Amino acid sequence: MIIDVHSHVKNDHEITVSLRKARRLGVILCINVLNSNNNYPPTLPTPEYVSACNDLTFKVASANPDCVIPMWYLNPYHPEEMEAELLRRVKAWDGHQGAKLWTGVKANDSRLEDIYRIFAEYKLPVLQHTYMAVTGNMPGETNPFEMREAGLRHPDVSFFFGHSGSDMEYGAKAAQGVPNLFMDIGGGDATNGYTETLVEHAGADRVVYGSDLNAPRSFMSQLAKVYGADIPEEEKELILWRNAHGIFTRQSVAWSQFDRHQAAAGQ
Amino acid sequence: MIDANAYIGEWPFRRLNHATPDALLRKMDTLGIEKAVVSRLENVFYKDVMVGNRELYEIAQEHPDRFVPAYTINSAMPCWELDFTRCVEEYGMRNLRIHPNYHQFTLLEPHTTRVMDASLEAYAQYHMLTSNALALLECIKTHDLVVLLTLTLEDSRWHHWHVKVPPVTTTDAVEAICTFPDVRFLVCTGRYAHIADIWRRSYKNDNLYFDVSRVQGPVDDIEQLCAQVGADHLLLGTNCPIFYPESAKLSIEHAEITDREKELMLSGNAKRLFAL
Repeated sequence: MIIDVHSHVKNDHEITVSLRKARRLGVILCINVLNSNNNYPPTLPTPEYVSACNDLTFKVASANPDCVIPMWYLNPYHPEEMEAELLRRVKAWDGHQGAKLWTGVKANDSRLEDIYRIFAEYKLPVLQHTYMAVTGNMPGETNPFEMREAGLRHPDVSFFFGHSGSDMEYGAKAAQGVPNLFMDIGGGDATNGYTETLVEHAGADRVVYGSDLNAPRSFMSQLAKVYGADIPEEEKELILWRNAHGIFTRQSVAWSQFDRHQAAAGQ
Repeated sequence: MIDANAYIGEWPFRRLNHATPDALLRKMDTLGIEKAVVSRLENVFYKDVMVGNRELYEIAQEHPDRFVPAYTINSAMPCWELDFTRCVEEYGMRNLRIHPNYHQFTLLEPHTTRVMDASLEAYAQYHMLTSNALALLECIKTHDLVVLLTLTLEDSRWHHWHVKVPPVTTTDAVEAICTFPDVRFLVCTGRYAHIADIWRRSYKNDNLYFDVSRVQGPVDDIEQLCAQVGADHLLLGTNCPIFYPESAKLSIEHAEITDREKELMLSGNAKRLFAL
């Protein structure tokens, strides 16, 4: 089994191909939808837009309980509406689930305080997009320094450190000594040494496999970061599924995608 | 398998795995890659590329069955023609690599924009290549070399604070390809969208090939490129040691394409292009 903590879909074609390949490779996809209109997702979407994205996430997750963990997308620029959106989604879903934060506000923004309390209460891991571009970040885009601050301020929340900051040296350094930051390897080129750097600074028990599938990445370009890394096989297993599995299975659920996945694989 | 796009050498910004000839050979053995077309990575930054070219020649001489050299020429430097001649006459150059972005020679004249979308023949009359790019490509054509046109080496968003190098544009590449339709181009490190764009705007030139080292999405990237460009114009290239070589290899091996298409991409096309 492989757990992909960072995957996207935005149309029927991507849904069909992604799920077919995921099943063939034995991957459980943690899907968040940022955009169901095929265009580039808006960086500051309205509550209605966010809700439409989550409707598609719900539809895909409901239809594929052996293969999909929903990651509810939120734009905390609208904190009250997002709190309501999150509670509505969480209470309506009784399998494993998580949340996704992109560029609405930065991870250390005070508008997230109440939402972080919900994450902690329901043990929802949150995939927080981060980036460190020498050419300049987008407005509202969280950089590794801000991710570190959020992790330190909210030790009861498990963060998937999206893209590990993109520039892995920044991400790896920023995650040092913050045990609730889990480095997502998804996105970016299959840069040689990427995973080894994260393991060296954060530790293999705090690195998780993600692909950033369809935004615009592929499975194999990102799995190569694990398969090609010069680290022991046991550490690759931690990254490919054990670490993420440990985070999700802290949740109390009526049913588990992992159980369904194993049952489907055994058929 | 044949890797059509790799390097040997160090990178100034971080320590690389597989930077030495022996380390690269071990990795190739692990992955089942018999031969690799290699350039000297230091030549991206050396002003005198002949230092790296000489080292590359010696490495290739030691491993003639494993390494196929692609020598680097920088036509922005004085008397580059002498470098070119020496590579041809002393090193037996058959393949040449250019880095127009790192070497500060853009292929296009500054401030020009494409004003026509006419026939392939029109390019020969109205090309917008700079004089030194034009002269280099004329030499390449005369000597019937394969040119590895490298769009970039890594994501420019992660570049060093003081070494920010934008990639070669697809328009630059198209201009060179269409002005010299008889030259065999291997465009390296294009993303999915770059390859589709260059292929379409280059009139589907039979002498045009792409490596897939930086084709890293979307989910059915290889399948879509095979449908649009054709497997006979796509090659395994790893951009190793900058990238994990597993990325390109696994992307081809796991693609939902025919075994024949995989064989072409993994070795058949490279054998034909590089006469191996």
